[in-house]
Amino acid sequence: MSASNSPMMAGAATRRAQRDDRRKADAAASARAATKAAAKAAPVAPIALELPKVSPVTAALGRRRLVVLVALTLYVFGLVMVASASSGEELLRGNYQWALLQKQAIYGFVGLCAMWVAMRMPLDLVRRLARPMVWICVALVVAVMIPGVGVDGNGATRWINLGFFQLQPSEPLKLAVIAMIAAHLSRTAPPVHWMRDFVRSPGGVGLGLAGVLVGVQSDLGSGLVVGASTVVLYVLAGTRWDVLWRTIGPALALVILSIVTEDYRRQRFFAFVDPWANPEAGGYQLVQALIAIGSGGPFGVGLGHSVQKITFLPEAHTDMIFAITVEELGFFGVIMVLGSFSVLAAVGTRIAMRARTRFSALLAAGITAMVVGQAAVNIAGVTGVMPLTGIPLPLVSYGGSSLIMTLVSLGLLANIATERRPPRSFTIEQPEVEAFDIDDYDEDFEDAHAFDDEDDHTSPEHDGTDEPAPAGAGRRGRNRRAPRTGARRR
Amino acid sequence: MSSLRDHGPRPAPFITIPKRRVAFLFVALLLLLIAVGTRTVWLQSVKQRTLSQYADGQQQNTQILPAVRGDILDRNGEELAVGEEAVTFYATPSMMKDPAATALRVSRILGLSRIEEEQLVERLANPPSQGFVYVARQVPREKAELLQDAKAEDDARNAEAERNDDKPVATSLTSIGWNDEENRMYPNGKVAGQIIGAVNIDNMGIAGIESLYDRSLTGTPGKQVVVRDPQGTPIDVLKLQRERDGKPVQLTIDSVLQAQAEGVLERVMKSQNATSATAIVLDPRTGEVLVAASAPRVDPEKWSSFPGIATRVPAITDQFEPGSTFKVVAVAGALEDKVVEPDTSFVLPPTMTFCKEKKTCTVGESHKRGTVVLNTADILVQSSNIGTIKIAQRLGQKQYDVWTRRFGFGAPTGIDFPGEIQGTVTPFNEWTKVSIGNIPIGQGIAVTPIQLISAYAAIANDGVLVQPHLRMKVGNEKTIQPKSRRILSAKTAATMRGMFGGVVEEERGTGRKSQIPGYKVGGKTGTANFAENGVYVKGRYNASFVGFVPANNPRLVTLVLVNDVGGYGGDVAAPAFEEITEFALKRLSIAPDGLE
Repeated sequence: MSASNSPMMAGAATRRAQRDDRRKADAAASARAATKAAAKAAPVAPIALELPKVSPVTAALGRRRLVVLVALTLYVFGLVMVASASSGEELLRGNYQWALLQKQAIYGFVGLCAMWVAMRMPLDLVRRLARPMVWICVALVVAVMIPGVGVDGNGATRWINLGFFQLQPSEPLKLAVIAMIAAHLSRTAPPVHWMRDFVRSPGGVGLGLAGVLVGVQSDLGSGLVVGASTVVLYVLAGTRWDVLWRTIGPALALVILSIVTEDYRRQRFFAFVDPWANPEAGGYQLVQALIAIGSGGPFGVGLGHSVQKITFLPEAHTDMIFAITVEELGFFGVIMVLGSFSVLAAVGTRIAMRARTRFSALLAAGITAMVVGQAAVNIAGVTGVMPLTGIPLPLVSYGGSSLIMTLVSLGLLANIATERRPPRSFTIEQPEVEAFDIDDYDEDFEDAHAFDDEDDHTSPEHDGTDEPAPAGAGRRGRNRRAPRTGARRR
Repeated sequence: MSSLRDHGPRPAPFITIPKRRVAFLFVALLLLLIAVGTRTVWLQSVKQRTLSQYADGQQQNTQILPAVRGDILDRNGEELAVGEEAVTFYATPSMMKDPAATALRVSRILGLSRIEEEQLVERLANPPSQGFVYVARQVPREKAELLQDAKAEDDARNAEAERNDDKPVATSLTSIGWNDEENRMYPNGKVAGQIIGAVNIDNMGIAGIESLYDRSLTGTPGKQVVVRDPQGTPIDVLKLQRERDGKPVQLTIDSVLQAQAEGVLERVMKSQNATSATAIVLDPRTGEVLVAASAPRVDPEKWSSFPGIATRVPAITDQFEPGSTFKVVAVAGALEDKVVEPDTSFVLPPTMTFCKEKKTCTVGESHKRGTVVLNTADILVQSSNIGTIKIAQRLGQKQYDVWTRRFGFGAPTGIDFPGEIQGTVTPFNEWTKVSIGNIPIGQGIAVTPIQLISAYAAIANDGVLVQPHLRMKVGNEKTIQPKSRRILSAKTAATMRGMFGGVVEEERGTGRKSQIPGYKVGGKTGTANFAENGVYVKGRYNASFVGFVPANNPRLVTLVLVNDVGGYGGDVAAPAFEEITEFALKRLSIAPDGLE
């Protein structure tokens, strides 16, 4: 603990040294706690909410670098798979074999530069930029529908040709909506009225945009992401469940009704249940994806050896890249992709919990939910667990807009991981907060402000008073993890 | 940054978000990932087998590599039957936008006839349930390339249209596929048509040599398993089993002689108003069949358009009543058994009667005469029926039967040709009273031309009967030594040859019209009543001549048989014999032995 006296000045090395020390202390403490608990005979532990403690990897790298590492790993892995999945077909079409690899590499370079910027960008600026960005993106999404501006692809018009790049405006829109809603929710109390606090707020904008994307642009994937992100952010902001249901319930009912009543929609929606019923038409893509996954077997057919990618499986290098990955690499591909996203889920949620401000916490959680959620929905579609939505596998699938925006998102996540102090405009005169280094952040302090339950926001502390409760003032002891807190209070 | 106003009220005190809900988010995300991961692993392991089968089914294609069918060659290597590269086109009509229009386009490109075009339209417009239809089979290479090019063009245009979201070509040929096949060709046309036989559309031998040596000719097709794309374009070869081409079959036939003989037969048939004619030329020393000609001729390429009767080879598969040519059995047998000598004299009445019931019980000569005295040689030279019967009577029924069978009658010669028959020889213990008056003169008995010529070849070959055969060699196999057996002593054979020489040369001989300038010819005429539906037709005969040349050291034996003619063997068959044999002598450069 040599350098602990000047936490603000502490460099990475110092912080790591501190962490190491603390980890030892943690271990010792938990050992002590264990014996204590054993002595007490009946320890009641809230298992479901027991989040993973700091893993050795996190300890060694720091969350910021871990996020960057996961992003780079998935991107490089994606490059390899895009090269494998696209080269054969390009060659058969008489094109340059590595054309798509080249493009994806360039997109990746641009994305990594943007990520670098996002990692160093003041988060307050992000907060301020969010709303204008949303309207810019909405304008672009609308512009796509103007004949002559939009570019077709796969039967849908979703791109704008910028000459050097075909932009898919729905990709930046996803991030912008998350940032906007996070910004809004960071300024308000948890919504208590479904109409006033949800529908007639940016939340309503998010749901509305989702509706427009699905209904007008038939972009089911983007609509799903925007809508789901909105809901997730409202959930995380502490919205009461009944408020949530009152808002989402009718929307869901509407969606379900529209699917069930229209014959063709129902058929399309449920095509995933039994794709073999119509393997030539409606179920074709899914059948081909299943064949790819299954024929690879546990060990895969070997990198580059997929046959399914050669025109059998449409969109092999974009939405369907997971199928080809698994066909070629077997279990290794599954572990690689799902492992990376699992790490991202863990790190992302952890960053959200430890974030300095409510905005950054919501942004971090929103980004995590968006990226990992897209991965899960993509794979679920490819494996026939749910209908295909047209969502790409983030960082792995070919596509510039998605790649760049995912990298920017993860850049922001990494940014939040090492956020030092609340931004100036958000300054709360709070010496304790100022004095704490991120790693010395007191969880009890956090707990005191946590909206653990719906009941919480009825408590007076959330009524808009500026005064944070003193450390350790959480009303409910069950959220306090005594051993850990004890260890922190060395 | 003025535009980037800070919206809303001043920052609220809600510094953090509910940890429990963040935890809930984490757990939800993790559960989702675990769910899809489990599903993936389940597909990879439990469903691997089923899905792999689907994958192989659509990705792999087993192709048969056709083995080239062996050629059929004549004795000089002349090609009688060869394989020509051809392409067979097929299609799945259900995948066509407009099958009828496509059919018309294919027809135009291939230049089909009107009937073929109509059939094609019918086939494509009303496809069978399995959906696979032949568009055109065994199209010659040059024409096939036109269609292949047109298809490639269509594919390119459709790909272009797809890129531009235009409509594909309606009459597109894209759903047409093809595989290479072989088209059996017969460069010599009808020459030796019946002998060569034919193949069906799948190049399987169905008749003649094509059928008999089908296994050797066919070879073993190879197999390759290829990985293909959805359009069927092969991408990679997984397994390859090379094909083994069929072996060529070389026949003993000389196509030039065969063609000439066939020409002669057709002419004779036409001028004599005959129904059919047969000629065989044999090398008596080896049993090699140089010519096995039948008229009318057939074209192996249009085999099915000929009536079944025309596609037979009467020389081997049909029997006939030989008539006088059969007298060789009685005379040679009696000489060998020494019951008669060449100069033994016989008193011959004008007719002999063997029973009283019927008119047919009485046997006479073909030309009415009084009672004469003739020796054995004269009997043969003048082809006396009464004389031959007397000689046969000296041999006795049983011994006569032995001689009949020793000459090879009543049993197939074993020539390598499908469908050889054994003829009809009544065993002596089933003879009727009149049999002794019929059988020795070649009535009431049926033989095949190949049996008859073999018997004469034995006499030509100093009494050794060599099994006749058509096969020279198959592939690189060594020539098989044909079976042979001695049936006469060389002395008797020589005596017989002398007598047969007399048939052609002597003033009263029946075969004078078979004389070949510069060569001594030995032979025997034959004229038997022509039977139709088991009843003899009055005034219609089977006219035949069997002879060998040069008479003292025969190199060739020739048989000519003209069925259902008005004239005798000496007048109808002998001149044809002369023509065929003379041509063969010159072609084979056999030195003349005659006086002139």
